Amino acid sequence: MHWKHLIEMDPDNAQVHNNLGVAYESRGKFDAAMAEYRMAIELDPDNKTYMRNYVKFKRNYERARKRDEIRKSRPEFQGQTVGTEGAQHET
Amino acid sequence: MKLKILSLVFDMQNQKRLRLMSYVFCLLPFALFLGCYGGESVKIKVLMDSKIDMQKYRTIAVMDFIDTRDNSVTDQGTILARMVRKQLRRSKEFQVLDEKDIDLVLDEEIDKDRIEEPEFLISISDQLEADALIVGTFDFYQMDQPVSYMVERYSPKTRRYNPETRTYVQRVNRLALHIKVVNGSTGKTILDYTPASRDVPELRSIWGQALSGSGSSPATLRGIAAGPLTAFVLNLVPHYQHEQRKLARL
Repeated sequence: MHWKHLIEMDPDNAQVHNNLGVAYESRGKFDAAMAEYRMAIELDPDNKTYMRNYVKFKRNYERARKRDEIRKSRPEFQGQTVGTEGAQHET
Repeated sequence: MKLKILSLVFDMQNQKRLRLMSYVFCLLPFALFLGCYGGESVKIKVLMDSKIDMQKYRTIAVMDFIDTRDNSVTDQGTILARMVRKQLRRSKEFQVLDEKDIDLVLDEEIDKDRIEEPEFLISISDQLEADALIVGTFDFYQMDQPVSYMVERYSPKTRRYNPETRTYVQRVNRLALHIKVVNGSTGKTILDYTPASRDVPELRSIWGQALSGSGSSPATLRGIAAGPLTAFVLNLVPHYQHEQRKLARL
């Protein structure tokens, strides 16, 4: 992934972390997206764009988590591991 | 008296549109500024849950909608029910009973009073072996609405153009819907949906004649009902929406 190379070159760049978070979220990789969004905010706490992206992401993430919990509680899904990772998105 | 009317005569709707356009043009420089300096936005697909949990209702029967004006001659209620069935089937979330199967199995007449009785709805569900029922009423009619518009009149006395309000009558198609999703085993309402009634002005040619397909034709009904029925179905099925995320400019 293009952004991953940029992160390796400049790990303290909040912009790249934010963009990588968006890329992960769009692919349904919620845990990875969470880490990247949080890192972006940690590096640049005053940036409203990163904060807005994170708030929207959190809403999306909570919905996906709730869905997973419901699915796991159903007998037909017992014993299956269903994560939020890659749960729903296609790009 | 010599009258001079300006070439551009706008009705009220056009005026609103014009006002909106002026806002857009005022905001355009800001949007361009943000576009240049604010980073790029991307749309991502987000899965939205259905408003109500429909997981335990696998088989659904959509009954023909009932005309509140008791106009049983038209098949408008059938058209509306078909639209709902089509959208539910497309979602692949439920088994939606066929119109033919419902007609074959059902031996009871449905009217607007009986769909309020839980016992009646339970008996229908039993006959159809449906987990949930979708019943609805509608009111589809035409009415004449006065529409105001402004003209400017030249006054030779004052030698000025003076604004003047005039009115013409516009024919409008209006649809009011009331839809319920009912639990087949208890007869209780799971979802009660009443969208705001929709108005669609009748299309007319420049000679003032109604264009074909206007009036209370099936095409007009489908056009006016599509939005509210889609909104109703989205309450029942998980669906994708687009959300914006901002990318930072590197």
